This record gives sequence, structure tokens and C-alpha cells, in this order.
Amino acid sequence: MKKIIAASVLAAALVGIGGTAAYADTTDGTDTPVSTDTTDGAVFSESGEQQTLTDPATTGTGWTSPVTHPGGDTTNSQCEGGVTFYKATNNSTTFTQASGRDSSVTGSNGITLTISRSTTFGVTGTFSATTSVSVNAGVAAVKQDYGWSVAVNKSGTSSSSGAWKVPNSYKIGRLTIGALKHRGAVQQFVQNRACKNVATGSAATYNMPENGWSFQHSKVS
Amino acid sequence: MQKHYRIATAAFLSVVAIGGLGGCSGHSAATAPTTSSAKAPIDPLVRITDRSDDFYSDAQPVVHELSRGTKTFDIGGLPAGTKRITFYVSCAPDSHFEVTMGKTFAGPCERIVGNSGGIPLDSGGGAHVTVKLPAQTQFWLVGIPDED
Repeated sequence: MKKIIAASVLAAALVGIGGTAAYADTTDGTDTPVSTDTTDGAVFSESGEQQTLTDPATTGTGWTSPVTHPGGDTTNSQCEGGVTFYKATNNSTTFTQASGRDSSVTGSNGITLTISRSTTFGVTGTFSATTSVSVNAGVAAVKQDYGWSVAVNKSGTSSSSGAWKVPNSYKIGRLTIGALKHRGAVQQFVQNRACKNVATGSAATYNMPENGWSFQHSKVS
Repeated sequence: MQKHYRIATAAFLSVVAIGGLGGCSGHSAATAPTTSSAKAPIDPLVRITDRSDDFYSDAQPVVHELSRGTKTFDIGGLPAGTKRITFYVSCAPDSHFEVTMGKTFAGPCERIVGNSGGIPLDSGGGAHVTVKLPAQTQFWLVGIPDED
């Protein structure tokens, strides 16, 4: 009887640890398939979606006044006055390679390159706060006006290995992990009783990485 | 069952290798320079045989070598249907490697493997692979066959 129980436990254990993965990146199901992208300099998110770089400025979604006015009237005197809000502008969105030695690999055409999901990478940014615009207010304004979740410094691991097969049109390709970095300014405004938005104080400037890692595919030669 | 045996075997060999007691059977690792230093590279099989790791594979390595500098190794025992070999390199001190099997995969290497390159077998490299590193740099090279 003991033998039967032992055999059953052993069998159950073997079934439990059984796996069929032929190679990396299939154990937790979170990695993306191998990309076969052929666009030099293209940038992809961890989920495999192509991302847009902009330099020079793009037009954001625009800010929204904290006080709504029926009919869009902004010239009457129905505003409360003294309402403070922030408006973000964006000058550029670029890809910045992460710090760390393993943030880039190269290979000949036909080779599938990957970067480990277990490596911790970092991208630093800057936010020059002013007396009227704090870091928190600036980060919130960028989120509200453009939808980007940014932070002054970013560090962590990726959820994707960024697997990319170097296209046949390249002699050598490079896979790089990094983050989209947004550069711009945040200005504080105060809405007066005449419903006019008046800039107050100095604008803060930012150059901050977006949360989430990105992978750039580039042509070396 | 055979698959589980391979996993257990690979994991055991990795532990043995890390302990500085030897290398992978059937390869030259056992005769390679040994180090007891904490600065020695860590065998990539530690990660490759870890089911929770993104480099996990249950395939038997066809290359598993501990050496120094620039070396060429023969590749044998390729399973039928193998279309490419994915190579993993760890090294100490930190350096920049090149792995060539007809085509070349290059990148930075550290004590813990941090990247990989899958080289197709039809790259014209024949049955050998060359690792290029500075003469005093110790490295582990692991090659995993892939049918995809």
C-alpha cells in the first residue's frame, strides 16, 4: 500500500513539474512573440506595440479648465476666481537607452536577439521645479494633458525580452532596451473672476522617462 | 519522463559547476580552469534550468563550456529537427563577447548571463562555434538547440 501511495505521489509530482517549453520566454506566458520588424529605429513597447517618437513638438490633448462654463463662455464674470491649475507642453519624445551593460546586443541577419527580463535597468530624467510648479504637480499635469505616466527616475525589470529577429535586409542589427523620454514644460495658471487663465510664476521644465520599457530595433550596417 | 530526467540532470550539473567541482559531462568544462573566486562567471544553466526564469529551457545543451579568452568548440549531438542554437554567455571580469557560428552575435557579458542570440543552423558555420573574448576573461558558453 505504501508503495502505491509513494508511486502516486511521485507521479503527481512529475506531472506537476512537467513542461513543454522548447526555449526561453514561455513559462509565464507574458512575453511577446519574436518580432520580425524591419523598420530601422522603430521602438516597441513591452507588449509589442509600436510606439511613436516625436521631435520636434507634438500637440497634446490640451489642458482642461478646472471650471466648466455652460456654452463655453469664458468672458463673463461667473468664474469663482483664484482656481489654480497646470498645463503641460511637450517638445519631444525620444528613445533613451537604459543604463547597464546588458541594455544592448547586436547580431547578424537571421539571428534572434533577446535581453533578459531579470536584469534591472534604469533611465534617469530631470524635473526642474519652480516655486509655482512642484514635481508632483508637473507629473500630474503631464499625465492629464498627454496621458503619459512619467517619473524623474525609472528603474526595474522588463516584462518582455524584446525578442527580435534581425531582418535579412540588414547586415547587422541592434536590439536595445530603454524608455521613451518626454521633454517639455509645465506652467501654472490661475483662473480669475473674468474666467481668464493667467500664467503665474515660472514654468518648470521636464525631461522624464515614461513608465514601461521599450525596445528599439536599429540597423548597424 | 526523459524530459524530467534531463531537467534534473542539468540542474544537478549546474549546481556542481557552481560549486567549482566540475563541469558538464561530455564536454571540456571539467578540464577548464577552475576558480573558487566569487568573481567567477556563473553558469548560464543555472538560469536556463530554472522554470521560473525567462531563459528557461528543458532542452539538453549541445554546448556547455567553461574557458578563457578566444576559443572554438565543436558542436555535437544536435537533436533531429534543430533549426537554430541559442547561445548564452557569462563572463568575468565584465567584457564584450562575440559568438560566431557562421553568423555573429555580440554583446556585453557579466557574471550572470543577461542576453541571448539564436543563430540559425543554416548560417554556414558548420559544426563549431567560436567565442571571442580578451585572453584573461573567463567565460561560460551554453548552446541550447531550438526547433522553432
